[in-house]
Amino acid sequence: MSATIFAKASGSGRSGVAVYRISGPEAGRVLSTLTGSTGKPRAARRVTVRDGDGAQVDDGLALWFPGPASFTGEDVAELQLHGSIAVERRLTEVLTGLGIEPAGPGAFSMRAFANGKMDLTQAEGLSDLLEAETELQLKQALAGHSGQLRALADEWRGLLISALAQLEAAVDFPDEEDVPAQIAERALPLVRDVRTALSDQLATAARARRVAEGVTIAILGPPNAGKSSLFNRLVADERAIVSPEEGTTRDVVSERVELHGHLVSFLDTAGVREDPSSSVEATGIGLAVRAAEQADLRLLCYPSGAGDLPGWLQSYRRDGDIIVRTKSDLSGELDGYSSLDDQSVERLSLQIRARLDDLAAPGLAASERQAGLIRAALVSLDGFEASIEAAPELGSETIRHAATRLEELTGRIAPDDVLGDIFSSFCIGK
Amino acid sequence: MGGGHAGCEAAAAAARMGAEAILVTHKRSTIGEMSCNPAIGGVGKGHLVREIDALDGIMAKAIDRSGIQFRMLNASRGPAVRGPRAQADRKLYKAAVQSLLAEQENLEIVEAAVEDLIVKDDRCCGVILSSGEKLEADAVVLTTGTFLRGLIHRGQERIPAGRVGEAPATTLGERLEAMQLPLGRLKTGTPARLAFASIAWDALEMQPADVRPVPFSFLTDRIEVQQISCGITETNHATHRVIAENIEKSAVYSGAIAGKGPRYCPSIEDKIVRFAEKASHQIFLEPEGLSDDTVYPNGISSSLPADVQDAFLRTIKGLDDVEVKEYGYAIEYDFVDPRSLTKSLELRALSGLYLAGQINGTTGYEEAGAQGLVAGASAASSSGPLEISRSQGYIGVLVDDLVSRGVSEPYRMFTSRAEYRLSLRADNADDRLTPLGTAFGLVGEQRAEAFHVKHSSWKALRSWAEETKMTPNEAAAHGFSVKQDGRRRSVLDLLSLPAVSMTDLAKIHPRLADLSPDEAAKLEADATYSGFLDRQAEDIAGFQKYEALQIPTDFDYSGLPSLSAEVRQRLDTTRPATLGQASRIEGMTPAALALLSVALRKSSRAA
Ligand SMILES: Cc1cc2nc3c(=O)[nH]c(=O)nc-3n(C[C@H](O)[C@H](O)[C@H](O)COP(=O)(O)OP(=O)(O)OC[C@H]3O[C@@H](n4cnc5c(N)ncnc54)[C@H](O)[C@@H]3O)c2cc1C
Ligand SMILES: Nc1nc2c(ncn2[C@@H]2O[C@H](COP(=O)(O)OP(=O)(O)O)[C@@H](O)[C@H]2O)c(=O)[nH]1
Ligand SMILES: [Mg+2]
Repeated sequence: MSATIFAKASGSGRSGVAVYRISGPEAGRVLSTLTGSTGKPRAARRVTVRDGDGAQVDDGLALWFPGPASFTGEDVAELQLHGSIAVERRLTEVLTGLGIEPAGPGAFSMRAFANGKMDLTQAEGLSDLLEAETELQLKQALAGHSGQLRALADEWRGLLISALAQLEAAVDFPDEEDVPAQIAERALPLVRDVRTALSDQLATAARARRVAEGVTIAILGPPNAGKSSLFNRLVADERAIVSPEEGTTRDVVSERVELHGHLVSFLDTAGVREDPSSSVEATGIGLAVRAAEQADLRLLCYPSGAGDLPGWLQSYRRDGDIIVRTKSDLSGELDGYSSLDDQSVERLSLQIRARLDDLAAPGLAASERQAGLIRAALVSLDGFEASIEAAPELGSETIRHAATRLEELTGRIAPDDVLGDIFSSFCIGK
Repeated sequence: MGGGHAGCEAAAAAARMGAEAILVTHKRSTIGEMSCNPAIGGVGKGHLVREIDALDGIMAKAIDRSGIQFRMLNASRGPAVRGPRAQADRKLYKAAVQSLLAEQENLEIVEAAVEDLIVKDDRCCGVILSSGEKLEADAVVLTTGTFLRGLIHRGQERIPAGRVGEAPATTLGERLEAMQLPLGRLKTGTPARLAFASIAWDALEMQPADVRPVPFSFLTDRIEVQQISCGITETNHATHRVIAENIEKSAVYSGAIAGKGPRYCPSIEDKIVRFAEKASHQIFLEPEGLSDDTVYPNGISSSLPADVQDAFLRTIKGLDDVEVKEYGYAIEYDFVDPRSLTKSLELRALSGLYLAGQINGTTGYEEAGAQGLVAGASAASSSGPLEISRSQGYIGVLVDDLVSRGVSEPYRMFTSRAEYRLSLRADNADDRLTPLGTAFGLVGEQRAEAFHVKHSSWKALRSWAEETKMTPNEAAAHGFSVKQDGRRRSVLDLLSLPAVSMTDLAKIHPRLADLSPDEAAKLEADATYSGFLDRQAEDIAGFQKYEALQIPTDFDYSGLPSLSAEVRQRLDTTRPATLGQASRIEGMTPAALALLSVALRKSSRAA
């Protein structure tokens, strides 16, 4: 219960600024990992938030409230970042990766209350609790998609309980001939199945979110590659400024369109090159690179007939990205593209469509909190083999931890079902 | 009242607290009797025994003086799940318990049957003996075991009784029923007892005791009782056929028994019906003593008629000519729903009356002893009850499970019931509980002194193991494969590597060669579990916060209209003492807890 937890504290929706709150003994460490240090207590500070590998997540303000003088009475870190869904998603990923758990409904208030911090007259304290009540009721009313997710989570938890029963039977009934001593092999396939199901679900959760929120496609390449021209053709509108002068596009320009039945945001970016000539250009490049990294799909543009794609551009390429050799009307290259050639633009559009059908598909739409819990369970289970090698009973600990996350997902507080499972699978008793 | 395992610990604990304790029991000679399998400990149960000992109880000392086969179960696993177990010489065990009680100051033993309770002003303040004599007391601890309306079943036979040959306590049962306590019915069984000389031991595989027996008590240096081996045999197709053909004669299968039996201790009839695909079931043949002609066949309890028991036993290897000394049976008995008790095992409906042992729906000597100790110490305390939490010990898990969740089958301890299992180990029971017991006035001087000495030497060892380091080069020179990262590794760091054993390290650091088994286990736990123990410590800190949030005993749940009727009813039955306990009641929801916590806060502000 005193694990470190986080949640978006400001209202949901696409507001300009989003406040994220992290509470618990690890809050300070997490703040340092994300922003380099905790900073002075209770003072706002401009920060760049980076993930564990140093990649930028966003920039914004950070505040540090060491316990007990904080809202929950524990150490609390607060981040005020851009109110974008991409940032929220990325931050959730980074935090769960650091072992921080998404807060359940009412969790902040429960802690504040437990630490004698909650004053009922303070509306702030009550708000997430009240929200929790309605959220739960809403969830129950909406038997549709979230009901299906609950059923799935129950099923995964059931598999984990069976795996745990295998391990625990060996521990609690060591002298029983029916209980094989080498039990890890029996638990492992179950754990693997759950791991696969969890990562599949995470993948569909992301896809389902893209159905609702749209797919982001970034156009990336060196200056003058013809990115803006392509952008304009794809959004079928004269929105971006096309110019033969290098470095015309400094900001990220975005346009939302409907493409083949999908909601798509195209991002036109500044040209990227290795040695920017001014700091203004460098800023533009920074923005371009970040937008490209956070996008769901990248179109990597490079003029045809100009040799191989340079290494730096290749380095942004991820699985499924599309390489666009531009200005094929000038080079005559057959499988290149030209903004002046309708047929080639149509060909590109169809290629994008194939990717869209992959990236966005209806599924059990998972909220950030749900996805976070699934991820936390997965992180724990990923450590199964290593922990069981250190000591068999540690394998049980990792499974138990994952099962608890799934219980939070379904909102059930379950007494131990492990023994029941043991007794139905083994003949035990002397 | 009751001289079983619960009653003995209760009386001894009350006496240690300085109260004038009287133990009233049917027969002085059956005090310390092991009614069934003469063995103490096991996985989970062994943890309980060590905790009883850490609180200066008698069970561990008694088994150390009478154990004839000590074995550490799960020896190949980590320290958290190792469970000490010993088979007892039944007579030696009984003698040990009786002499430990005789040595105890402030303790008087009265041989009599209790007929009734004295109740004045809604308080229990004594008992009435069958002679009519009254014994007045500030508190009464009732530990009557299966003696509440016990009914023995063997085939078609029905014998009202506790154990074979002893009279059941039906009058008292009616008295409790008149109090309208929620009663339930459970059953359990026991196998036939065999004559030692009639078994063909030569034909059997034997299981020896551990070469170096580890004592149960923190105060015992060495086990001096002679150690023996057990025989191992198994059922076969012929056995199963005899049983299957006669299954309707079994009391359990003829539908005569209403009580629910334990799933972890099924009768041989159950095993054959439920696991029909299994070709054989293992049986341990355990001699009941060094100079005892009785053998306990572990694994084949049965309520079949005597002639069928004879027939199936004789199909088993080694038992061709076996002679039965006493036939197996099933027994049904009443228990009191433990959700009607407080955490000190006092009845909420009648203050001054404590219940402990099998009467609360548990099974086993260790579970009984642990409850007896809690009830006896609390009953004798003038400064509030003895409270041990789930994060402090298996005793806490036991009591909390009973009073929060109740029982649906005879309750037995398992390590998987303890969520803080990595921290609650047999090796550190004294670190966890002796200081608490000392502060409570339950622990004698001798033990407090011994603990102090042992604890300081452990602390010294622990810091040494943390501070004594070697470079990667030095480690490599000793044959340990570690990353050449320039990091100096401590003894603990090295011990945490799967490939490095205590024996390896003892070659470099000779002091590791003569650690006590407990010290070795503690070092090993700190090394192997390190990251996990930290996470557990955090979980425990969180858990304790919710345990600290008290719910007033008279809290009115009907004042919370948004609680569902079902949740409200469960809260009313159990009357949790803390918000933490409320969260462990079956069927609780996070929303209900949040509501409850807000309401509590409100009511404490209003007060
Ligand atoms: C058939 C059977 C098989 C079992 N098998 C096992 C097993 O394999 N392993 C295991 O661990 N446990 C087993 N148990 C359980 C174990 O024996 C009990 O859980 C444990 O002994 C309970 O201890 P207790 O102190 O609560 O009661 P008991 O040990 O039953 O003691 C009750 C005492 O109360 C006295 N008493 C009762 N009524 C009165 C009265 N009115 N006045 C005065 N004195 C009274 C009795 O004389 C007796 O001394 C078995 C029990 C039974 C009955
Ligand atoms: N011939 C030809 N010229 C193009 C094509 N695409 C862009 N251009 C020209 O190349 C220059 C740079 O184009 P722009 O779209 O601004 O490139 P960006 O810097 O990558 O955004 C402009 O003069 C465009 O007219 C193309 O497909 N064919
Ligand atoms: Mg441009």
